[in-house]
Amino acid sequence: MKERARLAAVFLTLCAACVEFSPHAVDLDHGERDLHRKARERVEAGRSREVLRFALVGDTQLAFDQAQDAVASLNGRQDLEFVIQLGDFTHFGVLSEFRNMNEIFASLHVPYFVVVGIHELLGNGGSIYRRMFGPLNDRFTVARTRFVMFDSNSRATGFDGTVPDLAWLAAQLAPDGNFDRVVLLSHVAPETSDFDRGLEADYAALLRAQRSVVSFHGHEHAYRQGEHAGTPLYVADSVDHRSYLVATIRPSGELEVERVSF
Amino acid sequence: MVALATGAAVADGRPWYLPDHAKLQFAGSIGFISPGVGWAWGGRKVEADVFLGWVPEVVGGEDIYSATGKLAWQPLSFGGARGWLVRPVSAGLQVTYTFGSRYFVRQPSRFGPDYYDFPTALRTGVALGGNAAIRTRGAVREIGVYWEVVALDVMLFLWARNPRALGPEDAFTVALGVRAGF
Repeated sequence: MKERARLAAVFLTLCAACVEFSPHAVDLDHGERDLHRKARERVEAGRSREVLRFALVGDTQLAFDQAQDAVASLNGRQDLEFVIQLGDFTHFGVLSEFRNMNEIFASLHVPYFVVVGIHELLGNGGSIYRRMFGPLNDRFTVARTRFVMFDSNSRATGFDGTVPDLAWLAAQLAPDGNFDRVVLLSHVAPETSDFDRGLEADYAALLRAQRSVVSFHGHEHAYRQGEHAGTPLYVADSVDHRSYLVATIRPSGELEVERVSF
Repeated sequence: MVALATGAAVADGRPWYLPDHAKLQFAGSIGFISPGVGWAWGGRKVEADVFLGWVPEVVGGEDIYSATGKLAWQPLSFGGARGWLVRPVSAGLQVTYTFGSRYFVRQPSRFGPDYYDFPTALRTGVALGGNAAIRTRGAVREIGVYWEVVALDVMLFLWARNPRALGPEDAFTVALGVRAGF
């Protein structure tokens, strides 16, 4: 009986992989759901180092081969606590794309987070993203550092003043005694054509009110280091340009960012 | 075979626009379960179908509705024992339109020109397979089953660009169906 149940389970799993009902379906296996909560639990439980070091990977859309190479390179390092992908994880926003790209990232030895990109908001992609990773705006706190992942894809909602959600952002940045510095993570960087112009000033004011902020973005496909509202800003290469960023935060709060080719 | 099939249709006196067959398909990226009707020419060497597809929330996570047009070429047919007729090769193209405001054929104006160069509401695909049918008596003259592997444009495109990370198993899925010929 047990054997039969196991056979049935194997058969169902094989079948689930070999049929597709719609490219826009949003159903996921248990292991593909709620990944940010699971990653956050691992990150918060597994700390032992003095120095906080994490990697940032740019757009992976269309580039499964290079994403696989990036993951292999990241797995070759022993010094990372987690990896953050900066959005445009997918290109078409369809289920099979999410699942295949996630399969590549799931082979990372460390936990990973995926920021929502504008291509994830195509079709049913937003629903798939929420099921796979969690809310479009989310945060976690580790080593007295608050990581805030937020939707900055203003163009997807027609620059209607709701994205990024500055009220939500302000709440995450309000002092609560748990953090001394902030790492902002969003797909579209401020002061670019896909970021809501009408929200720029209020966004900048939120950053200026913080003692220590750095922000990381994707979307532009090319590495760039800049400054916004007096805070450092980095844009990561897309993976087809074969580099990622490694950020190190020392207990003193000192930040180093290195661009690593693979 | 061709003459026989054409002859039967003419002898029927059925108006040309009445469907020659009805199908019910499982999977194949056009729905969980998709009823359809279609027309056949040249002794079923060419078949065209239209399907309405439904993915119920319980299997797809959300209810999804779509319409699909399909055109297939079936060059070979072999008669078998007990009135079975097998068509081992079927090569088809399908186009699926997904209903709903989340999908577009032409990108909304908030995106500049060429921001997205593909319609999210339309997916084309290839369907390769075969079928087997048996003659019956009555209004339904033939009842059969078909099987296909289906690959959508997006996954074929991604596989072609990423031959190391993706394989045919990522592009192709299986579809099964039944067909009643009138």
